[in-house]
Amino acid sequence: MSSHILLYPLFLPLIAGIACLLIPRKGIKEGLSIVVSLTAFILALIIFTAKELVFTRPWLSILGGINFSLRSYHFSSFILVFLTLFGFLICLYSAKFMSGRKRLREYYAYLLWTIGASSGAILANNFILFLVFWGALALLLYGLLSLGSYRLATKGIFIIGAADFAFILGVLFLYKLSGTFQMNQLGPISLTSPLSISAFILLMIGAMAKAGTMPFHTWIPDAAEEAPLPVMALLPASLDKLLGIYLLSRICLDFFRLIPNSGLSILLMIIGSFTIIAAVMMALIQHNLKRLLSYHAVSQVGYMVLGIGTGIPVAVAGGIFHMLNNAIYKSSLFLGGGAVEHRMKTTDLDRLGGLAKLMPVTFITFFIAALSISGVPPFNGFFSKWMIYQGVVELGKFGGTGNLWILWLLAAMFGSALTLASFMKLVHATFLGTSSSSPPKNAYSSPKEVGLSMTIPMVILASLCIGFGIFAYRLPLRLFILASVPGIPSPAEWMGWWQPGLATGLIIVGIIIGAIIYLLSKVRLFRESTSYIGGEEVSPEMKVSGVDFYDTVRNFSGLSKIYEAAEKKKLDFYDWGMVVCKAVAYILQVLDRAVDYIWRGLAYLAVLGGKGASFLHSGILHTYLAWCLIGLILLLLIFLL
Amino acid sequence: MSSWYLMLSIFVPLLGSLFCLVFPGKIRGVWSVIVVSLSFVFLLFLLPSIMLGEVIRVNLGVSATGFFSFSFLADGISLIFALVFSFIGIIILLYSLTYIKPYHNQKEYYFITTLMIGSLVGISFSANLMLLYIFWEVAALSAWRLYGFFRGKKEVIFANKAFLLTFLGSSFMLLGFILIYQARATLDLVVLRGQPVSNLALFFILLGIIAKSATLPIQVWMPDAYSGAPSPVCALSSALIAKIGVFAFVRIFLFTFTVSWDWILWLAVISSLLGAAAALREKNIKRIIAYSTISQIGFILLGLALVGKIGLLAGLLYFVIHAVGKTGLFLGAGIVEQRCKEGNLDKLGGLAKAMPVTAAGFLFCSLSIMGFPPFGGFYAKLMVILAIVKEGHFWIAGLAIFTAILTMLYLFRLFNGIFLGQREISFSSKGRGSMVACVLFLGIVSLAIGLFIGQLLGLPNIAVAQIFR
Repeated sequence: MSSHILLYPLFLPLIAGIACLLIPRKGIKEGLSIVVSLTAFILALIIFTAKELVFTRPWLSILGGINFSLRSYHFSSFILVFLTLFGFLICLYSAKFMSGRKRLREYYAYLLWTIGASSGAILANNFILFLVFWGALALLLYGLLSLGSYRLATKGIFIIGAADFAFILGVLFLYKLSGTFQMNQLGPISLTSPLSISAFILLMIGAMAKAGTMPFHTWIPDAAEEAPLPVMALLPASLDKLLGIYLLSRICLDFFRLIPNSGLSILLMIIGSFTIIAAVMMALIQHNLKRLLSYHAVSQVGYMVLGIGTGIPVAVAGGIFHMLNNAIYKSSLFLGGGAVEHRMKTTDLDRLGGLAKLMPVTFITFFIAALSISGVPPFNGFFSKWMIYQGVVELGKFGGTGNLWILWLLAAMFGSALTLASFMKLVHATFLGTSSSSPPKNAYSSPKEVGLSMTIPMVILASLCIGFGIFAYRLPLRLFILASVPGIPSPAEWMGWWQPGLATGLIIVGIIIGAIIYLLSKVRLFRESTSYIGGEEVSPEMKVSGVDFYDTVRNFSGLSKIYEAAEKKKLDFYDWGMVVCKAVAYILQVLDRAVDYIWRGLAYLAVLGGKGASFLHSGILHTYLAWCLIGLILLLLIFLL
Repeated sequence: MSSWYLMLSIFVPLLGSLFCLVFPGKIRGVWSVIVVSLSFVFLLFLLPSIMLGEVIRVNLGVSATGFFSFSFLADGISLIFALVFSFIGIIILLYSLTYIKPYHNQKEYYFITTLMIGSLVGISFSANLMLLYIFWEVAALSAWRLYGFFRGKKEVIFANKAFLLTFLGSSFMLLGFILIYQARATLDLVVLRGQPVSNLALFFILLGIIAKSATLPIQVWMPDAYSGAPSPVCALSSALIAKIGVFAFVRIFLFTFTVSWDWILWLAVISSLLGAAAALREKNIKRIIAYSTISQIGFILLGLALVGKIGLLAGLLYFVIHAVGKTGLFLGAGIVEQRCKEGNLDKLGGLAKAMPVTAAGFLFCSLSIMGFPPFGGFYAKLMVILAIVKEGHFWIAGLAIFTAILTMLYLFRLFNGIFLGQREISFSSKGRGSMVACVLFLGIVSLAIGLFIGQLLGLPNIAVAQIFR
């Protein structure tokens, strides 16, 4: 296979994006974007079948070692497959969802360019080329978020942009350390010198900001409310995770040698655990479907960072697997939320309810994804978490700080439980219970299932959730992931007692037994009656909405203060950063003004000197003569003595 | 033949400017555009032979050496600077055709602008330090008249401040030249090349350069002068006049003598940081862009002061990018200011709907200066920091990155403040197509430089090769 094929997933979307921007005709952009993204997906599959492809052309050779170099190998090509798959599904979904909105030409152009630039970032084999695509993604994020609001877009690009600059510095430090920009020539560098540690941290900041870990996450919940939903499903939910975690795992595996239980490893695990717990606690109390989902998008990154941060191969593989799973179920959840929004015109949990019967496909796919994200077996989310737990437990072998494994494990498991809890609330409030008494005025009076172009992506993603869970080892792990992580032991060692096949079998048996019992109960041996509630009619006020499920959590004495501060956005690290920048700017401006005062003072002195001199020139002849005389005497004294 | 093109490119605008004084008002502006364009075309004719690595020398008069002679030298560096000077000059003059129409003193404006562009081209080809100094002061005097174009009391004071401070620097520079002449008995750059001279003389010359390029501690004239000057003049000054300081740095400190003082790096990075910080706090849009200029010139000096191949290449690229981008910003700000009669960021806002094309051009230029790929500014900033890191100055690199982040903050603040949010200000609805076109064009050029960066580095590469033989 010619390595030119690597260029197509980059340039096809780029060119198609320009076409979308320039051609005003209706219908063309939707069709074009679907066709192009599908083509990109097929190309990615073809690339995946090839073992390794390298495409290199000289580019900025003047600077030394900067080539236009693309490389597909196991890791990058499997990410590429999923990246283009999500791109395609979102394009398909958008055709219906976005129709009739403003600035559609820009939307499709940015969407396609995002797919192209992400493919470029994944395939890039040269750091400078990587930076070009990576930075372009930040700009495209700005463009896509600006469809929601510019305030939000500015916040997004400030966070991502600042992290990008840190990342650039990290790349240059890495270049100083290794002497090459080619990624595949970089041997793992040991993290001993201060330079290598700062390079690692700077690179880590770039990767984490992209993936959306705390404290770089704060634009995501804001974006959830304002930006168009497919943007959320594409960027924070799937593509950003793929890119950020891809980069993070390459940093930890390929570029540096992250030693388990070292200081940096513990730093990563702290960030991971903190992200899991803090974000899920915020998710518990949200009243808006999209905002709630967005906090989970943050929380789940914590697992990946935790997994990769352990430095134990099983957990690293688990982290990568979790990234894949998360992208699948999270975009499925967002798309489901979008279907609800499409019909009900709101995502406010207070105004939703009882949609399960009306939108069965959405409900089932949403429910599967919800179980999957909560880590319920046999769905895929469980398996990757399982692998991460294994790795964390293995840390205990190291002794010393390794004994902290119990903390990480607790954080991860507690987070998982809270996730399940918050999804119980979400599913109940949206799909179960009775329909809301106060639906928005412009909602469909009798909501029905959304069209095929929107259900197909949801169904595909939900079936991936099931497939990757049941056949976890046979499909995703063996095909995609295990080859990407060096030094992983044979599966028999870490798979433990968990046999997906057996467990699934048992679950299926359970479901069959349940179905039989259900069918038996259909044989009317009893009388159905409405429940007796003191003789009163069931009124809408008596509905259990589910929104307030966890208000007790919020009112815990210790937590209530934190929640209060978080809701007033006092805990927004973005604001803190801005305050720091402004304070620095203030101090430096004072310095600048001080320099100005010194110059003005000098000018004033010059004027003063002039005035003094003019005072001496009084215009009276006698005085001048006296001066002459004094001068003469002085000269005489000098020359004679 | 090449020497003829060289002479024509300098003397056509210099002598042509005189005709602006006699021609009637209608053709005056067009005449100056034609004159400067001719100069640009002659420079383009020089391009092929320079690209082959040739160096062209022209001597008018008898002796090539000595205190003063009309001797010119065309190599890669001078051609880069001259091309950018005349190219940006054309754009600014085209913009001025519409911008300057409502104001008095047009005769003087066109005469001085054309004369100044001519002398800037002259500076880039000067091979004699005295000749360079004469052109330098012609440019300074022209700038002084232009800063005070509106002739208000405040504007005149600011123009005086700018002139006196830069003159303070350049008189030190003259002193430096005299010291060199005393030691070496010549001021010819080619003869002087590689000879050792006293550090004191070089320090004096550096003072002149610092004053001209508005670097700490002689940066204070720039924001004041710009807040009173018309926008095209700000663009001229920031993109061209301040850059003769950069040119002199390359010519004297890299080409002729080799000086590597590490403290210049610290000076440059702190100046850059200071400018960015002040830009984040200022409210007047032209003052913000002026501080941004201080900050960006710091980056250019940072690249050059490393005295290395990549640093020089980065500095040259940064110079081109900054000239294009900053001109776009000033010209865009000029449109806004002229239409709204307001320059305060707090009072502006929400203009994107009314002027979408200006907004797009302005955003493109801003993104380029911020350093986002695929705009040209990305490569320039990357190369500067790459050069710093390669030399091992990690703390300076960190400060430079922090400055880059501040740059992003203040430029987005500027863009959002002008074009987004709620519009509360009334503005005249007269369309000014040609001015908007200039801004958009510069925005597109910023993007194009980034897209074709691989091809465009050819000429800078030759310039670098000629300096580091």
